[in-house]
Amino acid sequence: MGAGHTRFGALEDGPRALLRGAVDGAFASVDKGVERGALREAFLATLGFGGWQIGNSSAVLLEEAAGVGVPTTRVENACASGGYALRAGVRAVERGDAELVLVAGVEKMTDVTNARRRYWLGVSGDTEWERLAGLTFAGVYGLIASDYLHRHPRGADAMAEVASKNHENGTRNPNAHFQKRISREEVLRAPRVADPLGLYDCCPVSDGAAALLLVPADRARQYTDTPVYVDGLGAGSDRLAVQERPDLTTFEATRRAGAQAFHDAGVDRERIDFLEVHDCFTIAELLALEDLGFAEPGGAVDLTLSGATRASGRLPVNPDGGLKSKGHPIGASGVSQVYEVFLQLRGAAGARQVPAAEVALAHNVGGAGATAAVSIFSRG
Amino acid sequence: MSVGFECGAVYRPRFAMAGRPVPSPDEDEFTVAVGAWEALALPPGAPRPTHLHLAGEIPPSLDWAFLAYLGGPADVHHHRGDSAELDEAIAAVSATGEGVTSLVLAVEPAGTGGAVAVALRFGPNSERRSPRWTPRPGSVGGAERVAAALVEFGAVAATGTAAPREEPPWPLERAHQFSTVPPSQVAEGAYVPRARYLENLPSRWRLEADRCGRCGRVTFPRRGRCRYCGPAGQLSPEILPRDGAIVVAATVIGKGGQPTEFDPQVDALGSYGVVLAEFAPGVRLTLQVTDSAPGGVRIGDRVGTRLRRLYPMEGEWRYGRKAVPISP
Repeated sequence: MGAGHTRFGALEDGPRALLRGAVDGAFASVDKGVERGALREAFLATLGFGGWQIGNSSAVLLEEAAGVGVPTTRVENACASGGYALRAGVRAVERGDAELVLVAGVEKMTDVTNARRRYWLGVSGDTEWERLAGLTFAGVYGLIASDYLHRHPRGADAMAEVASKNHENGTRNPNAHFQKRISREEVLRAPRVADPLGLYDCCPVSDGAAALLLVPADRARQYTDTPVYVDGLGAGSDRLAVQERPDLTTFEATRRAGAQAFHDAGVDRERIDFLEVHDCFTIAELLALEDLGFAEPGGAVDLTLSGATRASGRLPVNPDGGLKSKGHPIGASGVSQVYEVFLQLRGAAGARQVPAAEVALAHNVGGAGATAAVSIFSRG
Repeated sequence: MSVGFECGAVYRPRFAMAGRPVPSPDEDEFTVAVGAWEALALPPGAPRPTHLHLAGEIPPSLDWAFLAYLGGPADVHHHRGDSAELDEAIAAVSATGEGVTSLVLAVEPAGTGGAVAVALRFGPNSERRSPRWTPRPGSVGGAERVAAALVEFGAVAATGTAAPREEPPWPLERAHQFSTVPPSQVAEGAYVPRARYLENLPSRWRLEADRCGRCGRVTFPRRGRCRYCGPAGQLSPEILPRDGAIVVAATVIGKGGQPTEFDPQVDALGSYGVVLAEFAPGVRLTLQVTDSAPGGVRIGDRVGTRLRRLYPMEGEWRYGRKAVPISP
C-alpha cells in the first residue's frame, strides 16, 4: 500500500539518511494515511557493504526511519537480499504476525576506498575457488557470457541492445544513477572489463534505498483505493561456484523461483505486462528472459533484438532503467524493483508508464545465481 | 659409491631469452620443484617418500609447502652450496639405507626463483630396476648437469626435457617487479583464512577428486560427500589428469576488473585470462591462465594445469593451480 525510493547514485547521504528518505516516502505515499506507530515488524535488506556496521545493522539503521522498538531483521542474500526481504515481509503478514510490515533495502557503496570497494564487490562470490583464480562478479559473468556467445554469436548485439535500451529507459527515471543514452556501438567499443563484457555491460556502483509497506490484502483498501497485490512468490538456490554447475548459461535458481512464483500466482506468462529483471550485467537480462520462460535457450537474442523488450514493445523489460542504468545499491535493488512495479500498476509511473499494466513480475538474483527470488503482482 | 633410482624427471621453463631460460613470474623454488615432482608421473598408489632432500637455494620457510604437497610426514633435509649440493643429497640418500623411499628435488640456478628443477625418486627396489647415477663430488652445475645426464639415460618423463625456445609473453623487467613482491604486502584482499585455504589443499594443489563407488561419478572439489548420492555414497580418492582439460568458458580480466589481492600482479604484468576447464562431464575447475598472452587460450582449447604462486597474504605466498596452454 505504500512505497518510497531515494535517488540512486553517488550521494552525500549515509545509510541512515537514505533509509529515512525511502521510508518517509513510503509512509507519505499511503493515500489515506497510516500512523508510524502501527508498524509491527521490519525487514532490512543490506549486504553491509564496506563492513562498518554488519552486526545488528537492521536495528541501528532503522532507528530514525522506522522508530525504536519494533522487531527488525537483516535479510542477506547478496544482490537478492531485497527479493528475499519482500518474501520475509509477505510471510510475516500472511502468518498474521503483524498487520503493518516494513520491507526496506539500503546500500552505501561509494564512500569506501577503491581497494575496499573491489574487495566488497567480491565477497558474495565463491571465495575459495573463483576468487583465488582472480575473478570478481564481472569475471564470473564474463565466463558465462563467453559460453553464451560461443553458442549464440549474435548475443553480443543483444547484450549491447540491453545496455542501450536500459539507458534509454533510465533517461525517463529521475531516480536513475545514469540519465544518459548510449548507442549499441558505444557499448561494443567500450574498454573490456572481463571479456566479452565491456564497461557498459556492467551496472554501476551506487548508493540508495527503497522501502515498501505491506498489509493483509483484505485490509489494503482501508489505506488506499489503488493497492497492489502480491500474487505469487518463488525462491530458489543453486551451487555458488559456477564450476560446480553443469551449464553456465542457465540459472537453475531463477528457473526454480520462476516456476514456483507462476504456480503460486496461478497466472500464465502471457498475462505478464512487463518485467523487472536482474540485469547486473547485460548477459544477465538475456539469461533471465530464458530462465523465466519468456524465451527458449538462445531465444532471448531475437526477442531482445526485435525490440519487444523496449518500453514501446510488447513485453517491456526494466522500464525504470534496470540495475544497468538506474543503479545497483545491492540491498536496495530488489526492493527498488517492487517500487517500480508499485508505481506502474497504480498508473503513477509518469513518462515511463507502461500502458494498461495490470500484472508484473520482479526477478532478483544473488551474485551469479546462487540465490534468486521471483514475485508476481497485480493491481487491485 | 653409486646408487640406483626408480625414476627421474626434469622441469624447465617454457620460455627463453637469448638462449637463457626465463622462469615465469609466478614460479618460485617450490613451484618448479613441484613441476619436476609431477613430471615423475607417479601412479596414485605409489608409496609416499619419508625423506625429502631439497638441493639448491630452497628457503627452509617453504618446508611447510613441500610437506603439504606431499600430504604426509617426512624428514626434510636441505643441501646447499654452489656446486655439489645435488651430489651431497644423493650421498645422503645412499647413507639412509635400505627399505626407504626418498625424493630428491634440486633447483637451480640460485637466486632466480628457480629455472630448472630435477626430481629423483629412490625406492627400496632401486638397485634392481634402475639406471645408476654416479655422483662426481665437486663437479659444477648440479641440476642442469643431472638434467642432461637423465636425458642421456632415457630415464625421464618427456615433460620439460626440450630446451625452451618461445619468447616470454610478458616484459622481463616487469616480471621481476611481480616476482619480488614482498609477501607482507596487500592489506585489503579477499580474506580466505589460511586454514580454509589449506582445508582444500588436496584438491587445490593435487587435483584430488572423489569417485563414488555407488554411482560411479566424480565429485570435485572433494567435499567429503558424493554430490549425487549424498550420505549414501562410497567415496574413494582419485587424481584428475593434469594435462587433459578442455576450456568451456574463457574471459580476460582487464585492469580494474581484478580482485584487490591481484593488484601487484596486474600492476606488473597487466591483464590475465581466466578459464573454466572441464576434466570430464561435470568435473570443472576455474583457473587463471599463465604462460600465455591474455586471450591466448580459447574455448575448445586443451589446457594443462601447473602449481603456481597466486598472491601474497598473511606474510606468505598462496599457491594454486593455473592453466597453461598445451599442444593439441
